[in-house]
Order: sequence, then C-alpha cells, then structure tokens
Amino acid sequence: MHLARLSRLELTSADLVNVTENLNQILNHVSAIQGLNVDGLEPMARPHEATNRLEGDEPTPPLDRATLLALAPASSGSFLAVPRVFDKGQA
Amino acid sequence: MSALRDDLTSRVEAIASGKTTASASLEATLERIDSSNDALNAFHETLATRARTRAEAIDEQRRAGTRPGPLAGATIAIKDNICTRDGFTTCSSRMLEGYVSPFDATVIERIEAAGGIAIGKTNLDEFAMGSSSEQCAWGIVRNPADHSRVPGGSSGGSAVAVAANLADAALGSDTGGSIRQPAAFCGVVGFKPTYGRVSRWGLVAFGSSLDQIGPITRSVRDASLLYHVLAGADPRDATTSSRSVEPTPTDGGAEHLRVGVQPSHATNSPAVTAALARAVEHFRERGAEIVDVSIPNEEYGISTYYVIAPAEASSNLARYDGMRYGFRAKSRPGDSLQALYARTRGEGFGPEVRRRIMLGTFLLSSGYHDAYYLQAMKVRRLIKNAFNHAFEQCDVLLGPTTPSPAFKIGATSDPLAMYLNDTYTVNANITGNCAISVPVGRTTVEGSELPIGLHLQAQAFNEATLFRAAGVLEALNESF
Repeated sequence: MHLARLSRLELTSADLVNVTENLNQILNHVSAIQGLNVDGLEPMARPHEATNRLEGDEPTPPLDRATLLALAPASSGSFLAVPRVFDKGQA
Repeated sequence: MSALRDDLTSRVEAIASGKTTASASLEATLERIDSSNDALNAFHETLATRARTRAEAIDEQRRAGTRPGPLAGATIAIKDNICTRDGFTTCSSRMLEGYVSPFDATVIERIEAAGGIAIGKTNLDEFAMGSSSEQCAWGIVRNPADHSRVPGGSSGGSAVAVAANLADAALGSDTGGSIRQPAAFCGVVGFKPTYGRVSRWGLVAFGSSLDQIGPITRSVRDASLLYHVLAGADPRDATTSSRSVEPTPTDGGAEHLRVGVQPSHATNSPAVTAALARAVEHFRERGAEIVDVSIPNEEYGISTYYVIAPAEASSNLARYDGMRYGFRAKSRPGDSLQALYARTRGEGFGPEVRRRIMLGTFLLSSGYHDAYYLQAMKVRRLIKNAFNHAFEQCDVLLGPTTPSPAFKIGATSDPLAMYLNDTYTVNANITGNCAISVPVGRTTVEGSELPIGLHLQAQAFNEATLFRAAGVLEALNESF
C-alpha cells in the first residue's frame, strides 16, 4: 500500500484492512474543516509568534561517543553498523 | 481539607521542620509502590538508587542547616516520555525498549535543583498517543477508583501515581489533554501551562507545536508551586518564552472574577453536567460574575487537532529507524535498507502509533497537504481568534474536562470514539492557552465512586488568573 510505503511501515494484510477502515472514518470526520471560511487568515504553525534564536558560535563538548555507541542496535569499532545503503540498484 | 493535609506542600513542610526525613518519606513511598504497582501498573520502573542518593543529600543539607529548596524531599513520578539519565526512557513503546537516555530533560534538572526526587518512570499511552493508557507496551494502567476502568491518558501512570499516593506529585505531558483528562478520571489536579512556559528539551517529541510538560498534583497549591519550579526560558528550547513568570497565588478568591460558561457544553453524563452547574453556583456565591460566552468554531477543535497532531507526529517519529538507537528488527536475506526500516517500524510501533503516522503522512502528502494540513493551520488561527475574543468578555472559561467519568477498560475500541474524549481539552493546545483540571467530587457509577474533574482555561500567559480561579474551584471538592 502506497501510504504504508511512504510511512516506512510494514503492515500485515489484516492490519492494512483495519487501518484503511480507521483512516477513512477519521478522514471523514476531520474533513469537516474544509467547509470553513478561512479567507484572509494566515496559517498558524505554532501558538505564539516566535523568531528563531541563534546561539553564539562557541563549540561545546559533544555527547560521549562510547555512550552513544552503546545505544546502537549494532556497532563496529567506533562506527554504527547499518545495512548497505546502496546495493546494486536497490535503495 | 484532607487532600491538602496529604499534599506535596505539606510533605515538604514536614521534612523542613524535622517531623520526618526525606529518606523515611521516600522509603515509605517505595514500599507503597511495591505493594500497589502490580495491581495498578502506574510505574514501569522505580529509580530507587538515584532517589535514595538524592534523599540522603537532602537530609544531609537539612542537618547542615542549608536552606532547603521549594521541593526538598518531595517525590516526583516522571512520565516515561521525559528523558532521565537513570533508568529507561521507553515512551511505553517496544521501539525504545531498553533505551537509556544520555541526558536529563531540563525539567528533571529543575526539579532536582529545587530538591525534588525523581522516584520512577510512569506508564503512558505509547508515544503519548491515546486517552486511556491502554496503548502501553508494558500493560494497561488501571484507575485506583475502580480497577476495571481506565485512568485516562496519555499520562495515566502519572495520574495514578498521584491519586494512589505513590508519589507526592508527577510530571505529565499534554498535547491534546493528556495531563488534564487523566487527572479528571483519577480525581487529581492536572495543569497544562501556556505553550512555551516549560521547556520541552528532553521531552520526546509528539506534536511540537502542541506539547507541554506540566504537573499532576493532589492540590492546586502544589501545581502552582511546581509550575514555578518548571517554568522559564531555556536556551536549549527555542520555543520557550522569555516573558517573566508572574506569581500565581491560589487564594485570591473569586471577587470580581469574570467566569465564562458556554451553554452549548452538553455532556454525556448527568453527573458531569450537575457538577458544572454546582461549580457555576459556587463561583457566583463567592462573588464571581458569570458570563455566558459562545466561541464560534470551537467544535472544530478535534478535527483541527487530528490533522495537526498526526502530521507533526509523522514527522517527529521519522527518527525511529532502528539505526542509531532503539529497536531494530531482524534482517532477512536480501533485505534492502528500506525493508529494514519498514519492518523495524512495523514491529516496533503499536497500532495507534502506526495509525497516526499513516494519517499524518497522508495529510501532508502532495495533493492533500493544502486541503488538510494548510487548512487546519488556518482553522487553528480561526479558533485562536475566537478564544481571544472570548477572553475579552471573561477572565477564565469554566467547563467539563471530559464528557463522562472514567470508562471501562476495553470499552472504546473505535479510534474516533476515543479521540472524542479530548473534546473539551484540545482547544487549549491548539490555542496555546493555559488550562487546568480540578477534581470537584465523585459520582456513583455501577457501584464505583468515580472522580469528576472540571476544566478552567485562561488566555496564554495568564496563569495568575487561572490559578486564582482553580483555588476557588478546588473548595468545591469538600462540599460535594
């Protein structure tokens, strides 16, 4: 299912049926907002106006490598071990 | 009042005056957790070692005559989507089973600087998505008032910990009502600060424009106290506000307070409706002016929320790919990287999380983005404007927190029906306003005494008025 692929989620076929039904029901409900007149309204991405803050360009110590590697599902030496990213035409 | 005698403020006073010690208080609490947690499942784990070290330090400071912090010796339960360096931070998800955070959230640092003791991590709906704490990978959480009923969610474990005296207070997070709704179901106070008042650094992100951390407590004065410990700008969270945090006394009374009530708020529960009517009278008797308000389009809050929140969630949960931390599924021969991502996420996430990710992905996808997400952002402004207009006519809005008291475990299997539990709470997240649920009494349902909470909302940054009104509302609890 295209949406499952976009979401990077592997679903069982039973799941797919369930989730399709759920999503249709939810979409039906939330579609109510489409009927509202929002002419001239600026979209509101966050509740209050805010401008991004910049920090001074001062290096600070990073998180300790050993600590982070210990969290990894797989590691090799001082690296994370991950599956091959590029593999003969598969991405 | 019996609740106040057992609240965090009185515990801190007892420790400061030498009536008890932080260590003794902690041990008693750990024992209670030991004997109650199997039945309630409030806690995923306790942080006993860290807590004991902290308690000893607090007691040592007291013996040395050092002035104690405002939370000295108080035990605080921490929702398990808040990062702690000790113990695990799992968000009640298989995706983060065994994950140990390399840093403490800002709120943890602030609690500890004030002398508070993080006692354990509480269960929640997975990744804070839910209204019942049934979506928890480590088992459902149960309501202490009736073990066959839900405590609400997503901060169910935290609400139960406070209601069952397994901590002096708790931290929860609130994206659409996840502090306030479980507080109402469990008969405790649940406060959601104005968006930007409390740092989200170290809160596992769900809906970044909606999330706020807040306290769950046994009294309004405790919530006010914890608010001051937690609130304030944090350079590590650029969405925090640098506006000064004003005092929030809770004993200001209701004289000349304009309390807005919406006649359109019908609930499913005669008990909740009756409680609301009693609360209106209660405010009126104490000198408040009751103002009928109508807030056009507020009924679109749920629809707006269930576009924005899943959209933000789908983006925030993209980081769980099984590569750098957390769960990784077993590889099969011939797996591409994409296949491993998909299987990791398919197996690591529970059904509600998968549902919301897919919903969010759809709402943001090309061809649908404008009709749904962009539209929702504009409706968000429409709703915010409507609430701002209402706050010209009143100082605080009073209403139900939930349509009904706590429902039975398993009663709501339909996702949309579950979402409607947030009807009265979501608009505070959409607008960024501050809001609180205050317990006002109990009602008998099928032989169980179930708590009822009522909801107050004030305009963003107006916590002072909110706490003043909450202090008045709390007094209703005794006269029920």
